[in-house]
Amino acid sequence: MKRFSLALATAAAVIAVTASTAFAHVEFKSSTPGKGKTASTHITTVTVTFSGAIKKGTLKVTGPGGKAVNNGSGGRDPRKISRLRVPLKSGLKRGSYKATWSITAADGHAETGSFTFKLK
Amino acid sequence: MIRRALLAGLAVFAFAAAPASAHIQVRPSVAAPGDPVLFQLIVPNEKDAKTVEVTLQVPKDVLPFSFEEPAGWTRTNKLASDGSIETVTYKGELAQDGFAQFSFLASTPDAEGDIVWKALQKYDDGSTVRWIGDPDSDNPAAVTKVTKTAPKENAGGEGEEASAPAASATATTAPAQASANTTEDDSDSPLPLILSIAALVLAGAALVKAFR
Repeated sequence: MKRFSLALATAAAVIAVTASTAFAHVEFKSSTPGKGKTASTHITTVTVTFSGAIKKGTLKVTGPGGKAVNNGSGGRDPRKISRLRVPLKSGLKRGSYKATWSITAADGHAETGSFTFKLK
Repeated sequence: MIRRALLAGLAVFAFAAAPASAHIQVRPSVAAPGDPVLFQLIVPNEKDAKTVEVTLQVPKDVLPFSFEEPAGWTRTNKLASDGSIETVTYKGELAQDGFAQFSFLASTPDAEGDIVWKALQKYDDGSTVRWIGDPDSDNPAAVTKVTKTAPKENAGGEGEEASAPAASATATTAPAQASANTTEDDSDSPLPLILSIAALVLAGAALVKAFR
């Protein structure tokens, strides 16, 4: 019994050490428009802000009917190193929009994600 | 006689040459593009005074993301208006025959070329040595050459080697993504923490039982 307990203790300790890896990551923090939020059809850009510096990235936006409304594929905001930014085409319609982003963080960590918002 | 003179001459030369050989250095001297690299800023004291402050200017397109805190020194990062790190300043005190070593992880630029590390070294006699010159000047800025021939370090990071499987995993799960989700190879889910705590509790219980 004693030996079994010791073995269990060792195994548990090993798990404890190995399970607690990789916490420090750059992650999605906020966006404009906010995710799930409603904004005006007159907006001219979509931005996504992350928790730390990003090296590069892309940001694409599709509108009603899956139509791409981004002008170019976006990139890091020259005014903020932790922000992705893409200009939008004009004449946006009301409806649901989806923004899809991908970034590479300073540590080389690649990440993708998406969120939806509405325009009216 | 001649031999003795030669020896004396050599000794004088060696003595005179020694102080000039110490420089602020940044290692490594070569690095791969777009790679997280472990950089070391090596600061030897070179005067009859003590170094009390070292400021490193972060070169363009170099993205530091993690710093080692050397004992006895404090670090301050100064940010540029875009939120990037502009300078890193270390304050402490070096013995007259001492040196300090400041390590940090930073991503190298995607393009090949020279990273020029400009640094200021302040002494407690009020003087400042500006390590900002050309390689053959008296006070050269350290240079790291970025070249594709250098091996990837991927130091503390998730550079190309590590991100390759993540990228393919992302590609396969992408169509199934719901709105507002995030794909990561090792997510920030609390599961590892919960597992860790559970495991620690188990380990503790088992130990108590074992030694009863």
